[in-house]
Amino acid sequence: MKKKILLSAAGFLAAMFLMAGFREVVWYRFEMRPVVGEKITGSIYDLEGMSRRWFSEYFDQFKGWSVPYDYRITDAVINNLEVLTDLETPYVEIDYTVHVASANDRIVQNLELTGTDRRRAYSGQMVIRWEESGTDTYTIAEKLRPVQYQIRTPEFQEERNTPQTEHFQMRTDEQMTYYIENGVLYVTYDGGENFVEVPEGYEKVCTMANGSYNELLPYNSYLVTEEFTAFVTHNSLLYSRDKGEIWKESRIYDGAYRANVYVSMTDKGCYVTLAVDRSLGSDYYQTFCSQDLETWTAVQSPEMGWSNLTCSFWTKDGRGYYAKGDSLSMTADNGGSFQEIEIPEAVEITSELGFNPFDTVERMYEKDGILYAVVGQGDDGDYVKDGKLAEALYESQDGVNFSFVEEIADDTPEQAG
Amino acid sequence: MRRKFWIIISILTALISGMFLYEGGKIFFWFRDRRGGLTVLIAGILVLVLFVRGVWRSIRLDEEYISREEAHSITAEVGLYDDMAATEAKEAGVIGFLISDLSLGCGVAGIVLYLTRFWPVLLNFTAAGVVLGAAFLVAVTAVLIKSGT
Repeated sequence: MKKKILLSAAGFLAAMFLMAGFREVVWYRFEMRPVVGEKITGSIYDLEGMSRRWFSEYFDQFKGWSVPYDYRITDAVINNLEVLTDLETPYVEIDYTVHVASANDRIVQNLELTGTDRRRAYSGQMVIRWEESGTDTYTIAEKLRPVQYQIRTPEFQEERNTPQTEHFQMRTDEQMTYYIENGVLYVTYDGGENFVEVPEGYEKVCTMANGSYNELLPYNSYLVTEEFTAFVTHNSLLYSRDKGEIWKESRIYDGAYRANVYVSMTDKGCYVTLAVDRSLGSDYYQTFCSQDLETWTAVQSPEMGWSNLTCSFWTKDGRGYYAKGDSLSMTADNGGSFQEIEIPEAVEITSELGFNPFDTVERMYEKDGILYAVVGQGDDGDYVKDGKLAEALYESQDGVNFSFVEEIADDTPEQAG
Repeated sequence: MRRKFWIIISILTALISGMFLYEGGKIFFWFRDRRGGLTVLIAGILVLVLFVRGVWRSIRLDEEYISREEAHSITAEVGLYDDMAATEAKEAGVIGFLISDLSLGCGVAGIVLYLTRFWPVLLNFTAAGVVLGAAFLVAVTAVLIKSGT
C-alpha cells in the first residue's frame, strides 16, 4: 500500500516535470514577428483598411496556449487609427488596447505597452509607414513611436530651432533683488511687496546672443541696494541711485559681446567685467572701472586676457578676484599684479565621498567685512543632496586664505509655469 | 472496469494538475503576477484533489479485487455469508461515492477555473463554484436516495 502511494507520488512528479518540459519547449519555440517587414496584400491602396487588417493578423500571433506569458495576449483592439500627412510620405498612427494573459513587466517591455487603470489592460501606440513591395503587396517599411514621428514633423523642427526662454520664480531669500514677469524686469527693495520697473530692462539686460532671454541673472551680474542698483547690458551699465526713480545708462565698451557680465561697487568706483573678444568658442573678458559712471577705463589684465570666466568680483576696498574653473586670481593693485589664491578642499566632504566635487568658484560676496566664496561643481556636477546640487561655502578674513564653512544647496529659483 | 476508469483519471489529472501547478508557479514566482498565478495554482490544486482520489480508488479497487478473489474461494469452501458485512460494504460505498463525486467536482471545477481565468475574477470563481456546487448537489441527492431505500 505504502509502496503504491510512493509510486503514485513519484508518478505525479514525473507527470508534472513532463508537462513543464513540454510547456517550456513549446514556449521556447515562439518567436515574435517584427513589425517592420510585415506584408499584406490588397488590390486597393487603402492605408486605413490595410492597417486594420494587418493589426488584427499581427496580434493573432500572440494568442493561444503556445505563446509564453511574456508575450501572450487575449485580445487587442484599435482605439484610434489616423493617417498622418505631416511628412512627405503618409504614416499611420495606431492607438490600441491590449488585454494580456498575465499582467507582468516583461510583456509590457516586449510589446512596448503602457499601463492603464484596468488590470491586464494595457495601451500601445505605434506609427507605421507602408511601402509598395510588389503587385498588390505592401510592406511595413518603418515603425516609430509617436514621439519619434513628432520629432520629424516640420512643426517640431521649427519649435526646436527656436530658442526657448526659461521663466523663474522670484528669489525669496533676498529682500532686495530683481524679478521678471511677462517680459518686464522689476526690482524690489522690500522682499516683493513693491516692485519698480526697470525701463526697457528686459530687452537690454536679458537678451542673449541666440535671440532668447536669460531670465536667471547670475549672481555678481547685478546689484540691487538702496544706494545703488545696477544691471549690465552687454555693453553698458543701466543704473539707478534712488531706488529705481531715475534710471541712467552709461556706455562702457562698444565692441562688447553678449556673454557673462559682472559688476561690483567699491569705494574706488564701479567695476564691470564684459566680454570684449570672442575666438574659437571662448570669450575673452576685460574689466572696466568708473568713478563717475560716465567715463570707463580698462583695468589691467594678464597678457592673454581673461577667458571663460565663471566669476569676477571686486571687494569694497578694491581687491579684484577672477575665477576660471578651479583657479582663482586676486589683484590688490588694480590689475598691476595678480596672485593665485588656493581654495583648500573641504576635508569632511572629500573624505566622505572619496573625491572633491567642488571645483568652480561661482560667486563671491562680502558681508560684515568677511569675504565669502561659493564654490560649485561646474558643468559636470552630480553631487546632489536633498534633490539639489550641493555647493561649498568658503570664507576669508584677509581675502587670501579661505576656509571651508559649510555645504549649501544650490539656490536657483524654481522654474515658473 | 471501474479500476481502469480511476487509473485513466489518475493519469490525466496528474498531467493536467502538473501542468497547472507548473504554469501557476511560473506566473506567480517568475512573472510576479500574483493574482493570475494564484488562480492557476488553485486550479492545479483542485485537479490534484481528483488525482489523489483517483490514485486512492485505484489502489483500493486493486486490493478489493484481490481480497474478493480470495473471499470467493473461502465462501465457496465454507458456504458462509454474513449480512452485517454486506451492510457495512453498502455504507462504505455511499461515503466512497460522496468523496469520489466531490473529488470529480473539484477536478472539473479546477479545469473550469483554468479555462475561465481571463474572465473577471468574481465570474471566474463563480463558474468554478457552480461546478463544485453541482457536484455537491449530486452528492446530497445520492445520500437522500440511499437513505430512502
